[in-house]
Amino acid sequence: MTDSDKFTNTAAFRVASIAVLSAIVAIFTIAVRIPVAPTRGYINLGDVAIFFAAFIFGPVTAFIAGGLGTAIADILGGFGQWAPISFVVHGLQGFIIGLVYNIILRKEEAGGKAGIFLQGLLPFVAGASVMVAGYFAAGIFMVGPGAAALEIPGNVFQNLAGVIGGISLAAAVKKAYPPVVKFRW
Amino acid sequence: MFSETYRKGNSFLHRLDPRLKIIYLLFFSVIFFLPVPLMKYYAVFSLIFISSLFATGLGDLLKPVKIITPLLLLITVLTPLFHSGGDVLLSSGNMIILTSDGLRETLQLIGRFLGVTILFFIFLRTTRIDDFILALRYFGLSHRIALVITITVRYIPYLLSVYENTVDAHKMRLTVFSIIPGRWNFSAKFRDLLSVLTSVLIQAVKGIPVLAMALETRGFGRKNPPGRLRKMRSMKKLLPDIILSFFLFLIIVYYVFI
Repeated sequence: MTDSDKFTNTAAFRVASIAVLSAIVAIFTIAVRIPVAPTRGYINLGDVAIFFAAFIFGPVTAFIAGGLGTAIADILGGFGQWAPISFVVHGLQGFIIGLVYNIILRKEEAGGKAGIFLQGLLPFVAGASVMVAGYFAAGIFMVGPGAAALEIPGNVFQNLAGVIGGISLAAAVKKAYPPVVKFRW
Repeated sequence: MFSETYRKGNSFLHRLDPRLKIIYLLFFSVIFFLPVPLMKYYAVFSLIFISSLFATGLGDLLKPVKIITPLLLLITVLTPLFHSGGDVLLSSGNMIILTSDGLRETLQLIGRFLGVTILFFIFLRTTRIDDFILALRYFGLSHRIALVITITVRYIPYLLSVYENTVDAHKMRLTVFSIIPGRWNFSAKFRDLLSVLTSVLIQAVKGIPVLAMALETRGFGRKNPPGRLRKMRSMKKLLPDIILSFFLFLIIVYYVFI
């Protein structure tokens, strides 16, 4: 084990990485918004940050950062009533994407080849399923099935933008700052 | 950062202990999701609305309502279509537009969503973030998670300024949209946005090891228990509020369920 491996295993590093990633998720959610009529009021790039966190930092960081970041963004954006739901749904979404990506990475380490298409498709399907189903289920109780169903296309689009943006950003950041590959835990 | 949601004031809701406010928030949220008669439902809603009025004033209280108005309209239009039971109240030819069941469900969903929205709004409007985190610590939130929330909240304004500075820098370097401002090209805009976000991410990720070292230098990870800058009010001082809240809960539960 190298010194940098030991460092990324410390509690201080884990707290720092989760906090910074949570702030990134919140910024991506707040800063870039495309207004839509149904339920939460806007489509955002928070999912790009969640996919990025899952690809680079792994499922646990993506779980806490995805949940906490979107919940804080909801509170700041005036959608506080959605914060507990966002915390659970986006947290699970990040965790599942991270888990699926871990499996792909292990397969590649064992000599297999997933390819860029599969690397994006599997996490997208897993992440989108959790997020779309989660918001739809919560929406049924909060706003009824009609309004909840209207949100589905927007959520799928958000995940699509998330996986495309997440893969691009992960590749760009790895290229510009190679030590980031050791930040995964 | 939370100053956008918290507004300084001297109302009884501002003065109420945050631990009790969390219990109130949970209690009323649960009531809004229970199958109670519509009249009682709106009576509870009115109680919350009037209490909130004293804390913020009408203008401020209507802000979250304005945000969710499009959604309330959608609920009004779409919910009756999913409920065909009960007496027909409105029809056009053979098509049933509104039934008594549909109307009841619509009113219930509107009341629920309005109620929950106002509950969360008033909680965040009258509670400072440090009080909120202290209250969560009291209810068992770990020191690490509390630290993560605190750092996140402090980091958001910094990263927002990094984002804004990067956008300005890209504009000054005449990126695609600065050169041809009138033309709208989705893929070019997406590429442009990604290059901005990449710069922000690199800046943020590079800061992680530095932040971790700062935490260790400040003693994070030591075995001895962490100190506290502020403490919450003692239970002894809180006793009158607790007794009052207990009776209020009792009255509401009696009214709603019996």
